[in-house]
Amino acid sequence: MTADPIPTGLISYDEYLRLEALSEQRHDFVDGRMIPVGCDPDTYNPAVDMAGGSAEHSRIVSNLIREAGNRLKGKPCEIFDPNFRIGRPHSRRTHYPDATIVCGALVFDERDQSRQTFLNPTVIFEVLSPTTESYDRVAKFDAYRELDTLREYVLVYQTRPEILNFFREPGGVWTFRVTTGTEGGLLLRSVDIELSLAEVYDRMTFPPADNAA
Amino acid sequence: MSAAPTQSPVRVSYEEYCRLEALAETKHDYDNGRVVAMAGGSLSHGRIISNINGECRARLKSGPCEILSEFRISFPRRTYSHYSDGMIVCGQPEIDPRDSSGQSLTNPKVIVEVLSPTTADFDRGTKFDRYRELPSFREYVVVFQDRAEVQTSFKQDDGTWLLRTFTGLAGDVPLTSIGIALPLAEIYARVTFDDAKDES
Repeated sequence: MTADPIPTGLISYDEYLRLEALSEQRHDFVDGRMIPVGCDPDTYNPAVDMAGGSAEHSRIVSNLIREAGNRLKGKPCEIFDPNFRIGRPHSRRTHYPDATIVCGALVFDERDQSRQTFLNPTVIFEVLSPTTESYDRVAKFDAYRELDTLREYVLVYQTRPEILNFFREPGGVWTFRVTTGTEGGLLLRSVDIELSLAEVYDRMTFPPADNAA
Repeated sequence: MSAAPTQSPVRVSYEEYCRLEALAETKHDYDNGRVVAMAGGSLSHGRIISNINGECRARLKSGPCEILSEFRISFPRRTYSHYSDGMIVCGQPEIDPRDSSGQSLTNPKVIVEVLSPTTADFDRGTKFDRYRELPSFREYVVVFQDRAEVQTSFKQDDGTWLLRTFTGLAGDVPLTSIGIALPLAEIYARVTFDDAKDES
């Protein structure tokens, strides 16, 4: 891949929308900077870092969309692929989640004429990669939690069969559950479906657990 | 801003790390073969740790739990080893016999981390995931130093973790796993939020 010609200074949200529409590479918008999806804003070096994810990352995303898509057929909620942005009006951050479930009508950000930014996710999925694990786990989750409609945040590890499922309880407090292995199911309470772990991790092989120093 | 932690260029075994660390004058974490020197902390960082130590000691004095410093945390797999800013052990502290220095414990119940800008995401993310490997671990307390905010993660009886955030200087932070509460005003005593910018 060639280096990505994006501005090095801070830009406005409107300028981001304009540039992003012209760009082949997807970029998150983080505090005035355009960061290629798959890079951590805190460590991103435009001269060095290449965007993009691994085949394993892509495989799990495909599995999730297929499996959740099948489970959601006929229901009022729908799953979207990584081509859609999640934003908020007046927000300084816009991200492309790996997959998003929206219930009911899509609410688009009116400032984005390309109608690629929506504001009302119910479930967000991120497949973790070693380079962005902490960012997805922490900073991105902090930003996503500001969205009133978000009820569930699902982090899927690709280096081991483990899923963290964060859920906003009726009182507003967040809890999370850890699910491991490739048997059984992952319950998504906010949309009342259960994903088969065998399907989520279809075609994935994992190294045996390292028990020695 | 503190400098990012520096890593050794050479990979060492866990046993070698334990041997080196027993002799070292400063502390180092161990992470997948690399010895990572820990960055110095700011005034705020040091004050918050002292405050928490004092508050916990006072409240735990007559009970089965104690707050400890100077010990490392040892994990089931010896691929990493970390120092935390504070840990509380209930009952007998179990020293890891695999660590020749005798400086590692395997059974913290509560772990406290005071966040620095360079380590915040790692402490709240990957490090927390590692701590969750410890069977005794029930509660994680993360303290921001640039603002009055404490986040706790508490493992409930059904295995679900409960995330709670406490802000401001009024009120307490409950440590549900050990039945005490720490006043926010005491956690942040003598801390002004400008000091956080003067990291060594």
